[in-house]
Amino acid sequence: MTESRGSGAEFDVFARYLGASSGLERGRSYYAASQQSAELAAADRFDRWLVVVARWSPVACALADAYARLTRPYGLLRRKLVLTLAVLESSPGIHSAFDSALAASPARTWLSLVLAGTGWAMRTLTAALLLAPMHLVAAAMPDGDRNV
Amino acid sequence: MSRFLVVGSGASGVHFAQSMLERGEHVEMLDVGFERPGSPLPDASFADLKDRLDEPEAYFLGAHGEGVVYPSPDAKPYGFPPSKAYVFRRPPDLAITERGFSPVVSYARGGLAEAWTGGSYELRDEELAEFPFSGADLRPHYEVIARRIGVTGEDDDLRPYSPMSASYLAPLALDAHSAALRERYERRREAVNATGFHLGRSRVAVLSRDLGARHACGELGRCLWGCPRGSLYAPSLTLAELLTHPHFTYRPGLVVHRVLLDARQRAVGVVAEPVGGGSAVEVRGERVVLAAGALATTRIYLQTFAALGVTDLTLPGLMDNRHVMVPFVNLSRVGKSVQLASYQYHMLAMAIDTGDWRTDVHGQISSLKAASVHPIVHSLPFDLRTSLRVFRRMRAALGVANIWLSDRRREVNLARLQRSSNGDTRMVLEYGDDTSDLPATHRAIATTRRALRQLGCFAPAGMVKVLPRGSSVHYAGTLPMGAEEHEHTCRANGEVRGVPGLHIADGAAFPWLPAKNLTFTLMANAARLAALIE
Repeated sequence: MTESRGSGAEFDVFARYLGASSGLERGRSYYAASQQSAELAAADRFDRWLVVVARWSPVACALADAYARLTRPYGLLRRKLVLTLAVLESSPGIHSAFDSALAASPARTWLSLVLAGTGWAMRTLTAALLLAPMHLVAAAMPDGDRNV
Repeated sequence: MSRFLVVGSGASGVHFAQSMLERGEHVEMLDVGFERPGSPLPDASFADLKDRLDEPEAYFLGAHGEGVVYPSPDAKPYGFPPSKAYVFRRPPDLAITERGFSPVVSYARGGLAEAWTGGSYELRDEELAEFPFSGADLRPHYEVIARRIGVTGEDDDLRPYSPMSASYLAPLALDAHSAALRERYERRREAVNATGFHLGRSRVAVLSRDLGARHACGELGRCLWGCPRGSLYAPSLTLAELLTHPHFTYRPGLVVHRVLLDARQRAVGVVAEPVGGGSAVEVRGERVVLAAGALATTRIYLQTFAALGVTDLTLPGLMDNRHVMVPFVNLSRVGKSVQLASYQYHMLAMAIDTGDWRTDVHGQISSLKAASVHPIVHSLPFDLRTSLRVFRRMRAALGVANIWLSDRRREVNLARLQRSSNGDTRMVLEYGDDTSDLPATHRAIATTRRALRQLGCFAPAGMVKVLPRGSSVHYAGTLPMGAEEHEHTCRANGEVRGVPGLHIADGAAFPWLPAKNLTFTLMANAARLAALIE
């Protein structure tokens, strides 16, 4: 029950990070039911820490994801976020915010792409400054769980 | 006892059976026969399904997310949905040891073509050079199959590479992206052709008008999830027709283990085991026709000889087309809208003329329409939210060229049995030479990227995927047809030399593998065999 509540809260944060604001009830239970997947099992210390950071808020999630894309593209956080996106794009009422095209004039489209790229670069830089020390600490910790 | 015992209900098996039934023969078909689940809400479009199904997440992703394509170094930009899981399900105890080869096998009703994209291309006369029959022998059977299944096509620049001798249906209307590509090609044809690249309409087994009980494509965008209208051809549609025939017997739930031979080594039946376990059964027939798919047929053949004490038999010549995915962005389409409710698969095809028909390259170009977006989004080089934003702006501009290279039989690519310490056997598939065609592969990629650039598209080199051998699912070559009298080869009528009464009707009997989708030719060849076998 606690685990289910925990994964429900996790889903809410991840979904808000990806741009969803409502209609999350069904997705929450599906997300919880999918946590037993072997795809979400293996994780080392730093992978788990990234997930903990990402759970704090959508902003923290954005930074953790930006860092994970650079250093852990196939890691646990990315997998959980991809599951969240897969759920959102299949959810009634809200899927079109994820699976449809955003049509606009060429000028507006290219401007939007430039802004998106700029935002990504700034987030990645910030994430590197904030999370690289944590990464180093995880790598330096002495137990056997240091596959970082 | 039936005159003809057919093993497998795939593209080859059902069309062999249908031709035999049309001749008035009795046919018995043995099959594992995992069944396709029903299609929900047959009138709903891809997007409608998400809003109208009671549990859309379970339909699109499986009960516990098994349809999610998670990030990994080998992840493809698409995944097969849970509704297609039956196609790839394997019975227990049919493990394969793979070395340099990642095979896909099917034990479904209809076989692997239940999950194909419908590409239907005739072989050129020269592409049949190593076959013990000519193009003129095969053409009438392309016509038979085209009339049975319905193939759309158009007489265009691809005709020199994919002949159109059969009766083709008018093609479906092009989607906006494919239309933009073709228009640009027509304006720049001379320059594009100078690179060796030629563009035309895909020849596809999809209906542009009703055919029998099947309906014309309703543009629902559900091709990958299983066409609910029967518009996209699948062999299970033919099997359903066969089941109504009084001379046809279908026995699902059986894994054929080996061919039963008499004292003179003549095929007189098969030994099969129930899928769920139980005692082996013998099923007798006057002639045995293996059409289980090249790999399953090879396994049955090897086990037949193992039962005779020949445990070290090796069948060289395993083939599979090299498969490459070249994703691209059509810059003129960035920021445009997409009609998700449309025919989902490729509408354009391509050929690269290398100057030698043996090495010509064939491909199909798909624009992105209805699809699961998460596999594409997570492959972009940004954080997931940025990737989603970029993806949605560029959605109408995305496409992929799937290209194939030909393959030829080589000694180091082989199939054999391996016996374990407990006496069980398993098939070993070994692709020992996976590098000799890399220079040709890189040339094909370069030509495709150059041509796409001339068509106004950007194809990032870093996103090109050379897929593992086995990915094209065009398997062939272990029991090749040929004119020469060699052991473990077939005659022009598919009969195995030295084993009278045993015929090979699937890709295992192909002596060469052109760079094309094979299924249309498999079906035509099966119909050809049915006309030859007495």
